[in-house]
Amino acid sequence: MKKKRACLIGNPNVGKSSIFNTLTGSLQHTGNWTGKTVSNEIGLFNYQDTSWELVDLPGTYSLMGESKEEEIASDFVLSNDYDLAIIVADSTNLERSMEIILEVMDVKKEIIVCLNLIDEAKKRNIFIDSKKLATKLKVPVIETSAKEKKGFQELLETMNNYYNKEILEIIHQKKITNYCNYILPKINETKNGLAIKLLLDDNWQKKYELTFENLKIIKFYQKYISKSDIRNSYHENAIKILDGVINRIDEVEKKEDKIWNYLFSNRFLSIPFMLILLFFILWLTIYFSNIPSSFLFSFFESLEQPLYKILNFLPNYIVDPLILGGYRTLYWVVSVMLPPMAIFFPLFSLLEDYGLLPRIAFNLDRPFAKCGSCGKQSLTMCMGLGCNAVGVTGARIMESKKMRLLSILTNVFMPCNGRFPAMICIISMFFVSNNTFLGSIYSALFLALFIVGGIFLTFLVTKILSKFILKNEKPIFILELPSFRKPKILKTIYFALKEKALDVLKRAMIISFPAGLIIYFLANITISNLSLISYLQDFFNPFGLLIGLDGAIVLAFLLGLPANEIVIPMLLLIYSGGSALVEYESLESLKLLLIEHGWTLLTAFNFLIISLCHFPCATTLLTIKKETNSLFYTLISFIIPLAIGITICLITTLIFS
Amino acid sequence: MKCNELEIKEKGKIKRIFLDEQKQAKLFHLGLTPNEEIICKFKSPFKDPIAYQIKGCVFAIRNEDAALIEVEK
Repeated sequence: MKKKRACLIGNPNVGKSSIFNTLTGSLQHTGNWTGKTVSNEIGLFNYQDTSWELVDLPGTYSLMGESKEEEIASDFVLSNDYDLAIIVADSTNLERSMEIILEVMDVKKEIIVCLNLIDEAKKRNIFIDSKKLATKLKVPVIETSAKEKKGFQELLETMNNYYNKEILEIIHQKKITNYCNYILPKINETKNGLAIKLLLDDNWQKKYELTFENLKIIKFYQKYISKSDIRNSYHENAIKILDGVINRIDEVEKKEDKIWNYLFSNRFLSIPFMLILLFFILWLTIYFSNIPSSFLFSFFESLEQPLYKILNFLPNYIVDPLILGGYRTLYWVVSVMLPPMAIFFPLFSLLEDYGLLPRIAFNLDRPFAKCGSCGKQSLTMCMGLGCNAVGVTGARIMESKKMRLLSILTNVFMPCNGRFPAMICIISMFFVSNNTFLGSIYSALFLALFIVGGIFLTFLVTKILSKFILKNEKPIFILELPSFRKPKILKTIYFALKEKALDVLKRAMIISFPAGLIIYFLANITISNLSLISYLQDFFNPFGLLIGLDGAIVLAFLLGLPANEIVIPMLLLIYSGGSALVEYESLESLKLLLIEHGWTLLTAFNFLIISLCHFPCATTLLTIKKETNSLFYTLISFIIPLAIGITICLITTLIFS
Repeated sequence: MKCNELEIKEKGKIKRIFLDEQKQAKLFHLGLTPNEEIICKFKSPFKDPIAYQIKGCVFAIRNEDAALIEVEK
């Protein structure tokens, strides 16, 4: 067998990953955002007598780009460490792919151009004369459609029997040609593209290990040449090549595009429409997660006794902490976290792949722009309502580092699904009763008020932070609005679960088991007849009373660090002096217990405030650490909401007394 | 006239671009080059940003950036 290596290169969002998956039979997630692939993906497959290694490069518009992904792609292309370059172009917008095609042609002779999404182009009345394009470029041009699995046989044949003796020579502007002709013999190279890269990129000059003499020459010419010179030069070539190749007969708008465009851009309909859409997702998530949640809970609970039996060869003082402490906290967290995530992530991914989310980001950009961020933050905020760890991960959709940081640091102001139940239960106990239909609407409105408060805080903190964080970065906001594409439903769901939900869940599990052990020991180790918990409670009491709470509440939030869901069970444990987490029996008994321990309206109100504004849960903190790769920002994300929460509570306490 | 002054469905021909190099490079890849035809596709409810189309590509930019693109009807 012959061994060969090929690479896939092209603009972001043109379907490179789909081609990669079809060829290698692997399942890499593809999305309707730009820039899904951030590092080289490698796949292997055999076709007839050749064993291919296929490298999927991150999407890039040009080899001159400066971002990390663009650099990975251009380094690989220029390394010449491959036999064949397959350039994937978007047939619905071939003009845009021309720069990368021509740039690669300037460094490599063995090239295949794939006109991908050809079926979609035809639907939109865009016709491309691929034969004419092939004759002009003097390279094979193949029409492919990953969706209809068209053109792959031809692509494989062409790859295996590749033979090309000459390729179109790109005629650059005189100045560029002169410089190239001068530099290339000195470094024993022949490819114009390499000389151009050396002339533009300081990093490459270092990577290439030029001699001192040559470096001096290149540095000299560098002053007289700019990226826009090069771009214009390629652009002129592209115009000549495309002349007579593309024929657009009054491009038709797809029917579904028309409907969505109307809904999204109508002045009166657009905002209510989006809010309804977001509300609907949220409602689905909360409504449908209750049943599997309680099912999971009772299932895991029923395993407690069998586990005891299995472990009965161990002494009690080991088994009790393991089961009542570690295991119980673990399944508590899992059964409240898993169902909403399993619903929320796939739903969001489907909307993302369909292309609706960029439109929401577009419509809501203005208010975010005023705070130094951008419309995409509205999406991470929504994800935060599901789970803050998800919102933090979701901030990857922002290209600008500054905006990304801002939305990561403020995500905690959106109360997540783990905080809702506790907030609702306090609201219905102390403020409006939940028994009647009207009552449930009032309590929903009351909760909505707190969410609005959270949104307000998000804007405020974003605005303030934007003055301090990376203040010199002037982010560019360019939002591509891809046309709507039907997502691959099963595949999207599978990947949303596998890549996002399980990832977050894994982190939650790692935290909750040891945390459960700690809680158990605190509740069960006693010094002169008092548990450690009650000592801690006494310790925090003065501070708790100062901000209108009490020691138990402060301690419950601190020990609830692994997951917000356990704050109320924790509180119960502290008040009742129990030894393990238990669910409350009824709202009435809980209310009685709370009032018995001195709860007033102020306590309940401040509890709600602190629920909204306190440090993110441990899972979210770990995620922030991973996403920002900085201990400093993780610390900030811990301190800011806490400081705000304490301040507000201090103020309300002062007013109240 | 400035690009952000185009009304919905109005077409313009790009004359000059005054954006800084970095922004220009990004927009270049969306097809924003002199002599290209640009169409105002739709506006967001706040009238900023505005979505434009050049050839097959629809993208949104903020008005402060669009104001630096000179077009001719």
